[in-house]
Amino acid sequence: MRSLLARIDRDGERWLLLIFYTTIVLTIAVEVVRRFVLSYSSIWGEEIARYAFIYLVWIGASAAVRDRAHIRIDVLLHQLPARGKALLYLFGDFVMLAVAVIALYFSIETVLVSMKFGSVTHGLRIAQAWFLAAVPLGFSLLSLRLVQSIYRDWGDLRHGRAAYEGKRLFD
Amino acid sequence: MEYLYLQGDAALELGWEFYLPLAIALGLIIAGVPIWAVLGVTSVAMLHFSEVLPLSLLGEALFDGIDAFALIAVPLFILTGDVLVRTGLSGKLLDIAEALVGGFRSGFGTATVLVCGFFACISGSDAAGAAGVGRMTIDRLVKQGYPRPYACALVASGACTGILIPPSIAYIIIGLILGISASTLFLAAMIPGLMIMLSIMLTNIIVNRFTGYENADQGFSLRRLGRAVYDGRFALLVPVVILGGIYSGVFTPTEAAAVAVVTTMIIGLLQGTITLADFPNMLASSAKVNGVIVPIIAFSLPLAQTLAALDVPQGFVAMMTSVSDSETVIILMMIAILIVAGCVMETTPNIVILSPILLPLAQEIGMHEIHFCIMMVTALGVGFITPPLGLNLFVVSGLTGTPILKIAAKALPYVFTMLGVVLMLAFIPELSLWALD
Repeated sequence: MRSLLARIDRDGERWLLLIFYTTIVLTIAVEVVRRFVLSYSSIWGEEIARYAFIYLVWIGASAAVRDRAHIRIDVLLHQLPARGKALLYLFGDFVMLAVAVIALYFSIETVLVSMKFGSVTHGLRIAQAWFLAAVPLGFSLLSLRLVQSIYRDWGDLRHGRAAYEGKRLFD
Repeated sequence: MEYLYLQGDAALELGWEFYLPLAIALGLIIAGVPIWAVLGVTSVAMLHFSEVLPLSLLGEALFDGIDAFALIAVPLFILTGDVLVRTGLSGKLLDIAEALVGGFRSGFGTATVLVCGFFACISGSDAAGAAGVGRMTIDRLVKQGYPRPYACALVASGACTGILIPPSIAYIIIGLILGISASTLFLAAMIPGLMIMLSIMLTNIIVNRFTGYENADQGFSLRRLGRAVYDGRFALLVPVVILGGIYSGVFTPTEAAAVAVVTTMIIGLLQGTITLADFPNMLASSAKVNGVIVPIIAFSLPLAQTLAALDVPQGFVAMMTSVSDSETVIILMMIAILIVAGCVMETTPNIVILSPILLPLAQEIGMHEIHFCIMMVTALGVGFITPPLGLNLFVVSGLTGTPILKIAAKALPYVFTMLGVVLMLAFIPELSLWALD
C-alpha cells in the first residue's frame, strides 16, 4: 500500500498525461486519415480530442507545480538570501493554493449544475459532467501538490536547508 | 464645450475596483508568484470588487475558455518541437543551415538563426524552439568565439521567429480571441516573420563586424550542401507538409500539427533515432510545458471578459483619440503600450487581455484587423527577449545557467532591430496584406 502510494506520488500525473496526450494525437490523426480515405469525419472525434485536451491542461498544471516549473519573475528571488527565497517560494505556494481552492469551488459548482440539468455532449451524447470534471480533478491534484510543496518548503526553512529550486522546464 | 462634455462622458472612469487589483497584480508579479496565479487573483479581485459579472464566471472560463479545437494545436506544436530534437532531425536541419550559410562571415551565427527559422516552420511554439536550438548550438557558438551570454541572447532572439513565422501558437490565440481564421493570419505573417528572421541575422553580422566574436571560416561547398540536404530530406519534408497543408486548406492548423507529430515520430522510429521507450518521457515533458502555457490563457480570459464588462475598450478608444487624432501618433502609442506590456507580462496573457482592448482603437483609425494582428503579435514578440519576463530568456537561462539579466543585456541590439521591423510593419500595411484579397 505504501509503495503504491509512493508510485502514485512519483508518477501519478505522468500516467494520466500519457493517456490523454496519446488520445489527442491518435484521435486527430485518425480523423484526418479517415477524411482523406472515406471523405467523412465524425463529430465525436473532435469532441474527444477537445475534452482530452482540457484534462491534459489541468493535470499538466499540477505536474508543473510538482516540479516548480510554472513561469514566474525570478529576478527578485535570485537577489534574496536563502531564507528570503524560501519565504517567497512559500508565499507563492499559498497564493496558488488560494486561487486553486477558489477555482475548485466554482468548478465543482459547474459540475453540479450540469449534473442537475443532465446536460449531454453534442457528439458522444454522454453526460457533460464527465468532461467538466477535468477542472476540479486538475485543481484537486494541484492543491495536493501545493500542500506537499508547502510542507517540504516549511521543513527546509525550519532546518535551514536550501529551498527546492524545481526542475527545468526543458530537460 | 459640448465636444468636451461628450469626451468626458465617454472617457475611462475607473475607480479603485480597477486600480486596486492592478496594484495587487503588480506586487504579486514582483514577489515571484507564478503568472497563472497572479492572473487568477486579479480576475477574482476585479470580479469581486466591480460586481459587473458573477464570480462563478471563473468556474466556467476554466473549462469553456479552453474548450476550443484550435487550442489543441498548442500541445501538438510543443510536442513536434520536442520530437524534432529527440529524433535528431533538428541536428540535420542545423547541418543544412550550416552548409548553406556557414561559409560566409558570421556564418555559424547566421546558421543558428536560420535553424531557428526552420524550427519555426515546423513547430509553432517558440519556447520549444529556444530550448531545442539552444541545446544544439550554444556550446558550439561559444566554441566559435562568441561569449556565452551573447550566444544565449542570439538563440533567444532567433527563437522569437517561433511564433512570428507560421505556423504559430500566438496567431492561433489572437485568431481565437478576435474571431479571425488562423490560416489567413498565417498567410499574412509569412513576410513579416521572414523580415524578423533576416533582421536578426543582419544584426548578428553587424555586431560581429564590431566585436569580431566569430572567427571560424568554414568555406562553402556545394557538395557538402547537397549531402546535408539529402541527409535531411525527411526533416525538410515536414514543413512542406504542414505549411502546404494549411495554406491549401487541406488541414486546419491543429490537424497539421497532429500530422507533423505523427510524421516526425514515424521518421524517428524508422530511422531508429527514437524507440517506443522514449515516448513516455517525451510526452510527459511536453505535457508539462503545455500545463504551464495553457493555464495562463485560461486565467487571462475571465480578466479580459471583466475588462470588457467594465467598458475598458470603449473608454480606452475615447481616451487615446482625445490625446491625438493623428493616425501615426496612435499607432506609435499602441506599439509603446505593447512593448511595455511585453516587458511586465508574458506574451500569451498580453494577447488575450490587450487584443480586445486595442482592436477597437485600431479600427477607429481605419487599420485592417489582419494588419493589426500582425503588428500586435510582432510587437509582443519583442517581449520574449525583454527582461524581466522574457520567456525565451527564461528558457535559455535555464538551459545554460547564465543569469537572465546578463543575457538580456546582450539581447539589447536585437530588441532594437526587432522594434525597427515592428515600425515598418505598422506603417507599411502591404507587408501584411499582400497575400489577401
